[in-house]
Amino acid sequence: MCAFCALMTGTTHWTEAGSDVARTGESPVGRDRFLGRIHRTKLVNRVLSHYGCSVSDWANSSYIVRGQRGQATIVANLPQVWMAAEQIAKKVADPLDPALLAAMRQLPAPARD
Amino acid sequence: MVAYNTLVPVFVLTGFLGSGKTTLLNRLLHHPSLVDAAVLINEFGEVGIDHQLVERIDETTVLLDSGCLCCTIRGDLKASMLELHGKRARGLVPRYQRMIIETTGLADPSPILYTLLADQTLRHHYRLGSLITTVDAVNGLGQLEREEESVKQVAVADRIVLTKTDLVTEDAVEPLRERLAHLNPSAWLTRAVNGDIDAEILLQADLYDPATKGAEVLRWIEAEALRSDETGAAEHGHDTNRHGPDIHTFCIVHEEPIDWTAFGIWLTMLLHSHGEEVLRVKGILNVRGIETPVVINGVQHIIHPPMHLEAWPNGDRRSRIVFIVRGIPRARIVESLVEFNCLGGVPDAA
Repeated sequence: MCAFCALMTGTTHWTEAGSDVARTGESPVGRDRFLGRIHRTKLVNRVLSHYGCSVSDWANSSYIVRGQRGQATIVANLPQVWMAAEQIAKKVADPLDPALLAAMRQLPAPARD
Repeated sequence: MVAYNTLVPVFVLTGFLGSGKTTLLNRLLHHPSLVDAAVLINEFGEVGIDHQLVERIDETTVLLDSGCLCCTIRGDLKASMLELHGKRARGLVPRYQRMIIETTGLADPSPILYTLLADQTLRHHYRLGSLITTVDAVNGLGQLEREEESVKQVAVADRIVLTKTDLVTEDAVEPLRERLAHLNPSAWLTRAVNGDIDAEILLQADLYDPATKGAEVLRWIEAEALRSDETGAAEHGHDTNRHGPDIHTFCIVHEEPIDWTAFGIWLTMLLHSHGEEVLRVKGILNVRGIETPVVINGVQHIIHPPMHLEAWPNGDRRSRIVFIVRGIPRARIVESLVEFNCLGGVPDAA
């Protein structure tokens, strides 16, 4: 548990096992974990822009999903990001949605990390 | 962090009513190499179990916020497993080396898998071994036609055991065998007569055993390659196997290396919105930036911890992902995966 915000932090979600981590079977730590989360939030934001939402990292352990009208939800992992985005946007977060895929094709090329 | 290979492997034994689960279990428990197994059963049936470490679990469930039945914590199962672990640690029960959970015949095995993988305490003591499904050779075909749970039990299996094959002719078994192989081509399919079976393969080799995981993945790939050769379809985008109106199996072969971060975003989003329709997903990935393969394995919303292999099983370095889905066209999944894999750009082209 985080002593400051009283958030329960669980074990690492499978998506946070980076490619090197998949080799060792251990969770990323320190700078690698931080950089991985920053990269992940950057890519998730490219998807969430379609829903009028954004996500940011919080304390290297949680995510904050925000809507355009100031709504904010703290979540622990990617599945919960999609649940929060749906509640804020009132739309189903579906990667098979042709409208989402069309919108992603119109996005500018991502900036390099 | 607890070393994964020191955890007690848990084997889930499921199968429709009367399909021979308890008979099989009894035989397995008398195998010399399996006397050190603990057994949890949902109900004591007509067939008694003669084993020194058998506990009954009563079903109490906690439905999580997602509202999906597969994402359900089985509180009874958790309590039973932790109680047994505590007794084992204190020396009150034999130091069992594996656990077998026998489900009820009507059970959807997904909540059991979810409980094992998602519970913060259990995952420090146990790991999933294999999911074994018994199918009755006499009634299996009809059950697969009529009973949704029966189809699901087969779709999520790692091992399928055909039982009662001595009660029907070989010609009668063949349509069922073909149906099972098409429904879940990468599951290991075998037969048991009065429960007689190779216990070593059934309960000792599994995907997360360091000694056997390479062979297990190779078996998936070979099963898929054989099916592709037979149908000529897996490479060409057809839905090769249809099971009734909407359940079908297909393999996506992805030529470009996979962006691991983008893949995690895509798969979590797919399982969030379609998890109840994705009965099974498993595959071997060529992840951008590393030389050796990563194995993924999931049932509905539940994904096992990704696993790394020391080498490519057969020299083919393309990513291959097998899906068993209900009602989702292959083309839509491929289109979506390709788009998401470009989410972070393509470093080589930049």
